[in-house]
Amino acid sequence: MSHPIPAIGGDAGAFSVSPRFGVQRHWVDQVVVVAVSGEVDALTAPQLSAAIDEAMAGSPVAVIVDLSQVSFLAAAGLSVLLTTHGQVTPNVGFGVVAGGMAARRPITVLGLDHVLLLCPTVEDAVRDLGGSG
Amino acid sequence: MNRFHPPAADVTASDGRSHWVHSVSEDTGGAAHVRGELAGWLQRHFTMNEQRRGDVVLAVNEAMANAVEFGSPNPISPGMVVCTAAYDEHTRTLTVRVTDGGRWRLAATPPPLTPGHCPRRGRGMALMRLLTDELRIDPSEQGTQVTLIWIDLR
Repeated sequence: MSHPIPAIGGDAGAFSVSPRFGVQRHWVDQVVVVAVSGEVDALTAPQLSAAIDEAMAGSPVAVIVDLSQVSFLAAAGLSVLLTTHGQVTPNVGFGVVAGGMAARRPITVLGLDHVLLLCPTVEDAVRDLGGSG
Repeated sequence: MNRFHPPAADVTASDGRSHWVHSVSEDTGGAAHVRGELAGWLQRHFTMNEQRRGDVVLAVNEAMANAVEFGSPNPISPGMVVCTAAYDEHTRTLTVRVTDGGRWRLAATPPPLTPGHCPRRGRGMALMRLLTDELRIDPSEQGTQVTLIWIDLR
């Protein structure tokens, strides 16, 4: 297993086990956005899960996972999204910004766009999920 | 059943579109390297669009992920997963084989495809079935061979 690599920039404050993956968090009012870049596979999906856990610790009204900078999304990553959806909703909102084809394709092939809330942009997601109820 | 015995070489000497081989250590970091190599080979030799190419790489990734997670150590080549691709010009058929050293702990019956009710391994399996034209899984005590087939591929 490769040596942990400190993340550069952002407020993620986490180490990355792969240079091919990055995750950062930022808050918009009471909504936390978890922005993912690179490849989400069996090696890196646990880091996404940990980042979401840390985001939840801040008691957000909603969590948005922004996949628009993701270049590859495997079943391991889909599992993190679905597990999060099952665990946080309906008390906490959960939205996914799929972005490009790399993330959109596996989501739609499995019909997960009928389970997850997909939002076209982060701005749309924050607007739709940022309410108090 | 024709057991496929991959060569020991890590990379073929010539870069042609009829054949491609990559072996990788049995961990998920190695799978990422194979993805990149496979994507590059597909891009160099085929005219398929980005989505099709992504489908091939994703399906093969899921086969490798299962090999890494559920394969047992290969007594001859411990911790090795081998991925090979062969393209038949006449039938335009791409055949990718992923072999590991052990036996998958597969469910007795295929998991349902209902979203939200699939276990994690079921999603990988569902992706493989949905993204390929034909899928074969041949488990044995010596190792599991997954064959992923795409027809009319250019």
